[in-house]
Amino acid sequence: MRLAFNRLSIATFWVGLVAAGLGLWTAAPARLRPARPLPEGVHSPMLALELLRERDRVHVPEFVDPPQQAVFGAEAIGTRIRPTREREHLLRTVRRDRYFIAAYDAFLTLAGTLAIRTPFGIPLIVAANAAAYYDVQENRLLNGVLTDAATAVPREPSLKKWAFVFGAFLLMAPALVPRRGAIFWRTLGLAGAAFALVGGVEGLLAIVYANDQLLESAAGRLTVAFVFAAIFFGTCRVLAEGLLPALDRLAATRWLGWLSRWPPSEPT
Amino acid sequence: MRSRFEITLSSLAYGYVLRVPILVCLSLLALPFVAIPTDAIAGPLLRGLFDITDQSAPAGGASFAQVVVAFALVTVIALMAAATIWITTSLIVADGEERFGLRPVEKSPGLQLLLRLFPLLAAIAVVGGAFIQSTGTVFAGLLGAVFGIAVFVLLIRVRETWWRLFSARAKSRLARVLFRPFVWVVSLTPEGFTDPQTGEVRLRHLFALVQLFISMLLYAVLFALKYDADLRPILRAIPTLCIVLLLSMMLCWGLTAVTFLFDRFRIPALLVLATYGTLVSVFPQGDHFFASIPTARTERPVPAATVLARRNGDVAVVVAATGGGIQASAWAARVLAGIQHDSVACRTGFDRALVAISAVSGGSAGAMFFLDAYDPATGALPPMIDIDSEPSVKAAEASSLDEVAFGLAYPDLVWTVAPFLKGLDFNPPSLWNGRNLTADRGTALEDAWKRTASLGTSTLLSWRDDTAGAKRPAVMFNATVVETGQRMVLGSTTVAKAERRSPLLDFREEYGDVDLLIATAARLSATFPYVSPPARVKRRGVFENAVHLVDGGYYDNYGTATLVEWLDEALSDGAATPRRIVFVQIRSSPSGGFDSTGGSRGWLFETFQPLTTMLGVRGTGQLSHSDLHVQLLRNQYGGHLIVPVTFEFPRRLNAETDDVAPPLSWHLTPKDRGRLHDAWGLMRRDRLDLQHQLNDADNATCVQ
Repeated sequence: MRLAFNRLSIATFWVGLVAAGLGLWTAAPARLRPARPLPEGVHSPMLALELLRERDRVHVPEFVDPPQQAVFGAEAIGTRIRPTREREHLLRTVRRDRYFIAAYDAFLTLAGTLAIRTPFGIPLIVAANAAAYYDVQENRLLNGVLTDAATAVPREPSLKKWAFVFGAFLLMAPALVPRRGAIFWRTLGLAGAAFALVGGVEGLLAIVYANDQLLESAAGRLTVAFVFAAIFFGTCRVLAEGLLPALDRLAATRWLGWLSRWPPSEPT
Repeated sequence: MRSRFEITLSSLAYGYVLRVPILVCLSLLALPFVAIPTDAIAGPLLRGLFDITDQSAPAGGASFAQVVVAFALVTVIALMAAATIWITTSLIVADGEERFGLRPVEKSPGLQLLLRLFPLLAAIAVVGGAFIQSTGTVFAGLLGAVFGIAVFVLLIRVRETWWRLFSARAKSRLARVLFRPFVWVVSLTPEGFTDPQTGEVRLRHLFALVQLFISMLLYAVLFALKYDADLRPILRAIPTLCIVLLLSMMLCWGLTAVTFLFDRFRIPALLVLATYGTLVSVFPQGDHFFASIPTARTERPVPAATVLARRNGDVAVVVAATGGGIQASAWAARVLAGIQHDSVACRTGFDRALVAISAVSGGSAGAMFFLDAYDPATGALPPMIDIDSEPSVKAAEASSLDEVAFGLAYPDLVWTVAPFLKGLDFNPPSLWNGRNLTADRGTALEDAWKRTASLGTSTLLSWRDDTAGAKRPAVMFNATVVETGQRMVLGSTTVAKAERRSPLLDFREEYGDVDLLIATAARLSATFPYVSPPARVKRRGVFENAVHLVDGGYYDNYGTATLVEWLDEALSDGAATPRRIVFVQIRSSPSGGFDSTGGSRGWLFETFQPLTTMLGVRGTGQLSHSDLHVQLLRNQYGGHLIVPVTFEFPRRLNAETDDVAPPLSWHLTPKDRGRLHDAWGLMRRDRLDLQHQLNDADNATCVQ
């Protein structure tokens, strides 16, 4: 039973690692610094689009360039600023997002499976899949906004997605607090649980009070919680007896063993 | 029986006694991450450090051998720094129980691995950072890194060989000389150094001492090589990053020794350093000085009206160049050379129309290189055909980072530890006023700027003569007096005392019996905080009570305050009657656009808030005052006589590279130079405007 748990835990780590890689790859094109402040005071252009209110839709070209500039994109000699291709970059991120959705959904589902014997397991799996569903809906509308073909802003599915994501992390928090284990490993889990709890509660409050800046800040905490959780799951076996025994095992390997002996710290 | 809580916390106590190697390790590990990414927090200041191949060949054409040497050196010194961190950590962990009464640590292979792994990762991060930032270097860089690793392994073997030699000849004179001071210190406080059973010094401490000797040897070898680097081009391949690594290595050795000695007695290392610093500050020679040239000449700088009257009935151009490190230097030189280039094509005679430049900080360096290009025989500039290859532009863009780092790691470090040695000289014999008084990073920067033969000899008085003879535009380098906060102008023209409405000083009026090299004046104006030291004039010896000069940007980073006063004086008595005055402002970074970034809150924010606000107000206040002064001056003279034209480095060049904060250190990467080139291309509207102001014609075809 313990062996199966450990294997599933390590599988969760690997899926988490893939999700992290895909997350970075997805976000890379959207790492833009807009020339003007974004609606509701958020810093991320992508989040600004996700949480766009109907009344702000007319301002989209102010922080995303009109599509014809993206098409022509010629250098405008004599002007201070060359036309940018932000819309194109954001569309690329939306297209890539489907892979990231699949990865984080798998990670949270596996985390739910690890906690299946607790009251949080099944709700966590349900929340993860609901979040993924609304994320796909949101992307469909985002695509429309960026190509000027949308009939509605993605705010509604986006808020539902975020509510399920925050809920999923809140439900995952107890799984990060084991009763047994080495202190270092448990500290990793506790740190992850603390970030998940604070981020989750903060995020749900942000949705209730329609505070987009708070939602952005809560999303940041979830990223930290995700990193801690992935490391916690991945090291359940390695750190089971503590950090030093784990290092001893590492020092016994062929690849790193030499480094524990060379260069010598005392004369031989 | 100790509780788990107590065991955990007593293990954490090692974090305190290991603070120096941990901090050095974390600093090296974090260095590439805070320096290299586009929006890195210390990018503008530190990114240039990792551009290790471009420093040796500013034109971007470092040879294969230079790249190999550069990477080999960075690799070997990064590994030596890692070894220093590991050795100092190992000693504290091994003897911490005895020396500090800490909980004993299990000496397992895992711990040994941990102690070596983190420093190794720091070394890998540094070398990796150099690979990322230095362009086109993959094969040669890899070869260099492999070579560096081989040299490191060799040095470790050398350590073992030396050890055998020392122990075999323990009673030899060399061994006694090298080990005696250490053995003496150990005899005063032997706990942790000696084996309680035998009373002998533990071999690992002596073994570490041999490693320290090798580190010191490396420090000395690099000094010898760098000292002559200008004479042998291959030695330019020694990157500045090596000096930074060596400095961190020496700091790790020195500060760990202090903490190992004094932590036992609960005396904080900072208190030890502060006490030593206070004690040695009684030596006046510990201050920084700039060189001056004694002179019997009594002429004062040329009056403003005399300079401006040269253009009576014609168009005159005056320039204010802002500060901002090498970006300001390069932008000022490029804009001035670019205007001259346009002017030749449009036949508007900019070089003759230009009458005065008021420059600050980095802008002073750019202005100096541009004005140096004037031919003092004809009073004209040579034709500037290609701006990128124009000598004044290349000189302004060339890196000076290496010289500053060398000054910091060698003379300044030595004088900080032993300031009483600074004034010592044997020829002629002196205890206080020797030649080394001016040897510091400020002088090193100044020497690096003497890139033409004329800059090695030109002085304020020689340029004053050129200005008086209408052979060179007047220049005013702006500096700030630390003690009073006043502006001090060092230049070939100035504002007459009676006309001054602000607390402005003139160097020649304050120190009439000395002259200054132009390079010295420019570097005093460009005393960027911490990069160059605040300095006072070396005139009558170290006991003279002279003021300290620092960057002009503290008072006015735009250079307009002095220029507005200068113009007001020139126009007020009616002798100077130019047809039009074009007031050119060269701004090296985007002004305005005050983004509200937020993010900081809480009591820590509140503690530093006054300082944060003061720094914020310095930028906004200076900008609004500068604009207001220019506007009021225009209004005073009818609104049409003075026409402002601003060449401001654009906020954003293109979306693909996003915004990049301009560099603040004295090094430009090839990308930075590319951005300067592109930015000038985007200035066409202002360039057309300026040429139109010079000849009232449509110059659309001659400005390309």
